[in-house]
Amino acid sequence: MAPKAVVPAVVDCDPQTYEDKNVHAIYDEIASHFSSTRYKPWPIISAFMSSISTGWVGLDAGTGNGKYLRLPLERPSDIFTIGLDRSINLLRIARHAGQSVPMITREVVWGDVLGLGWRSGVFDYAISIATIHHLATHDRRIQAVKRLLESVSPRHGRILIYVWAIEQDELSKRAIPTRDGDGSEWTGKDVVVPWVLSRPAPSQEKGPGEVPVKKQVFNRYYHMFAKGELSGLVHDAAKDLGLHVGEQPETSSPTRGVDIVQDGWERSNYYVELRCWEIPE
Amino acid sequence: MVRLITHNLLACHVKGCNTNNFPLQFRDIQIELREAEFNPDFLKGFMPKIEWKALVDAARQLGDTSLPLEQPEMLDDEFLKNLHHVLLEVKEV
Repeated sequence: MAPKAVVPAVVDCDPQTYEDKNVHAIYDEIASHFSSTRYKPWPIISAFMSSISTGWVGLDAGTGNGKYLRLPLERPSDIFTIGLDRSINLLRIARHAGQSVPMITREVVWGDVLGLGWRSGVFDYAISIATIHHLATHDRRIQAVKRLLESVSPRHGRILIYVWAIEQDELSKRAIPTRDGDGSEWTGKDVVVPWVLSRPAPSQEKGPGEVPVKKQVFNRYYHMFAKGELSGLVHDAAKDLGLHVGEQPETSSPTRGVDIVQDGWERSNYYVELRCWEIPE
Repeated sequence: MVRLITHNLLACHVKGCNTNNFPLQFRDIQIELREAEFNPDFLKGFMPKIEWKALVDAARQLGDTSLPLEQPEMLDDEFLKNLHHVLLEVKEV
């Protein structure tokens, strides 16, 4: 769902502190309301999860309410996805969501997408949906992509990343510049997006015949991605890790790389699908 | 809070906390059992990834001695059911 309004934001302090206040604390507050609006997996994500081989294990970095942990719907026990998130209240929902459908495996871990909490390259796939856009600097967003690349198998690891785009469905009439003045560089946009939470008001405020409601507004930080910026992050992360970007070459000399299989825009989001490859020694 | 399958994938995020930051040590363990769907194809696909010694040690610390010390070559039904139980139905809380 696209926001009704976005307001420019300035990251004015240590990025970790900024994210704690303008992302993590807010998700902990709005968790259950937020979760009730996020239940339908998007087609490209469902298709990606359906294409994962039986026996593979994966990481959902920034799992939120865990709606992707039960995919693929047609054969949920064939793969095992672990959900990682910074919001403990969202994880409480992720862990218990869908309990009416027994026998479905759900596993969640409280942690940071910038952390190194796993055996290196142990996952076969990783997804990070609507998460990296909450990181407050370009370097931290590169770091997040590096962590994804490090978490999956260098030989066959597959990755899907979704982030919020400047090019919005409903906001398409509002021209948000995607390039610097000289047109040589893409640049995203830092914004805050208000989330209005309605809570029952204390009883003494109740007027006659009214349903007492107290509205509270939380401004969540987002970095809205410009066209080309997400694949740019992949190039920067791959360079830092010594990976080639592109298809596996017809060569026998040992090398490692990552191929950008898909790079697109869908419903106000940019996404990339990546495939790791390795020519071993 | 996690199943043993997850314990087998987790590493310590603190640099150099032991030789390879793996496996995480249990502290004040309690366990919870929860039934999960038995899927032998998943288990066979996941087997090569398992750090076997860490899994057997973890299971024994939690009181389950059903797994052999060496990873077997013959994957019979009894073994797969034990493996399924240890990986997916025992939860350390």
